[in-house]
Order: sequence, then C-alpha cells, then structure tokens
Amino acid sequence: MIRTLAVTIILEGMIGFAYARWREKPLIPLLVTSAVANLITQSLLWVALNVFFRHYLVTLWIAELTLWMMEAVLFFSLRWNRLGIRDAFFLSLAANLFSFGVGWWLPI
Amino acid sequence: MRKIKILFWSFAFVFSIFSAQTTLADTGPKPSMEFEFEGLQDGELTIVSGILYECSQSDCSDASPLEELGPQGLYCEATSCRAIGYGFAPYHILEIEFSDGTTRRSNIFETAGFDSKYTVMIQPDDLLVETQFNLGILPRTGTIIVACICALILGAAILGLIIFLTRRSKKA
Repeated sequence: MIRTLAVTIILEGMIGFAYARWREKPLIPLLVTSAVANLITQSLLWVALNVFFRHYLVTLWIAELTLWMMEAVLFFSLRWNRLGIRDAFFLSLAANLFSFGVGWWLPI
Repeated sequence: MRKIKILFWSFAFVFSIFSAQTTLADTGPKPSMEFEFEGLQDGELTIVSGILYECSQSDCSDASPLEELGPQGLYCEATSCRAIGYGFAPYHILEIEFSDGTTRRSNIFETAGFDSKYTVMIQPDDLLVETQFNLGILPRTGTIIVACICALILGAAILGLIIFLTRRSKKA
C-alpha cells in the first residue's frame, strides 16, 4: 500500500505541478492538498478493495469515480488553492486519469 | 533548475519502481497471490515454470489458465511464485514444473482475499495448497463490520464537506 500511495502522490503531484505552472496557481498548496487527499482516498480505496475483493473491477471503477469527486471537492474547498469548481474537477480528473492509467500497467 | 531536478528524480523514482517487476515484494491495488513452497529452501529442487488455472465452478470443470495481460500473470522464481491480476476467479489450481522434470498439480483452492498468501506443500505426485491467514478469510461478520466502519468514515467525510461548502456559500 505504501508503494502504491507513494507512486500515486508522485504521479498526481506531477500533474499538480504542470497545472500550477500552466494556470499560474499556487504550487505548494496544490501539492500539499493533492498529497493529503491521496492519503485519505487511497486508504479508503484500499479498504474498499479488501472488503469487496471478489468484485475487483466494479469496486475499482466505483471507488475511482467517488475518489475523483472527493478530491475535486477538497481542491475547491481549500481557499489557498484558488481554484473554481470547474478547475478543481478538471485538475482532479486529469490527476486521477493519469495515475490510474499509469497504475493500470504497473505490477503493483 | 531545481524544479527540473525534482521532476527528474520523481520520474526516476517512478520508473525504478516500474522496472522492479522481478522483486514484486510489496502489495498493491491489484489483487495478488503469493505462494510459499515448503521444502525448496535446501536448493535441491527448484521451480522451472508454473501455470495458475482459474475456475468459476467449485469443481474446476471450467479451468482455464490465467491470461497474461499487462502485469497480469503468474511469476515464478526458484522457490516461490506470485500471481497478480485484474481480479481473480473464485477457485484455482496451481500447476508447477520442477527441476526434477516432474509437473505437479495442486488441489482446488479458493481466493482467500485481496492479497492472498498460500503455503504449498510438495508431495511426491502433487501439490497441497493451504491458505495462510488473511483479512479476506475473516468471518462474514468481520467483513461487514469493516465495511460499516468504512461507510461511516466516507459518510462523515461527505457530510463534513457538505456542511463546509454550505457555510462557505452563505459567507459569500
């Protein structure tokens, strides 16, 4: 789990870094929010997958959709990120799609 | 320049993990199975290759090998095997070819959990696979309690966010 979490935080951090540069948003708050959000959401994902291990793909898809929205709300809620609701959902979607896509092919 | 360095080391870290496919030491978000073989430690007998059969039926009448798809597959070293997949069927049979030229088949065993661990005993003609303790084989009540706690945390988080957003919109 620690390995998965570390990879996710790094991958989503990269997207956060690129987004902050592109849209001129505060970098450190975005990275900290992303890391904290991943700590919470990855733990929930881990529990969900362990409980519903017989239905891996269904659980994964439902959990990923939920986590995307949770992270977006967190990005939006914290004022120092200076993100509107659309920006927050876009950033969360980009970060989660990237980490999900890479993670799909990783043997972890 | 410093940021480029950070990006470079981040990439290096990710790809070092990606390239560490042979170690496969840690657990991850994909279901896995670990097989520890008893009696291979002295080095006389080693694993040559293996096939993990997946079955939906409890008698394994519909057995088919685990498909190799991306990282999905059965990976064997000299004394152990590990399977990783995008979900497993409920029942399995393990077939291992050993260095003595013999291919041994296991009994039918169940998926024990998200990251299942099994002990494999090598017998003269076959293999005996036994499940090690795992969260997935906790009694049903244990699973329900864990699920309830999880749902409670999720519910509390969502409720907290709703209250926070409502207060924020009122202030605005």
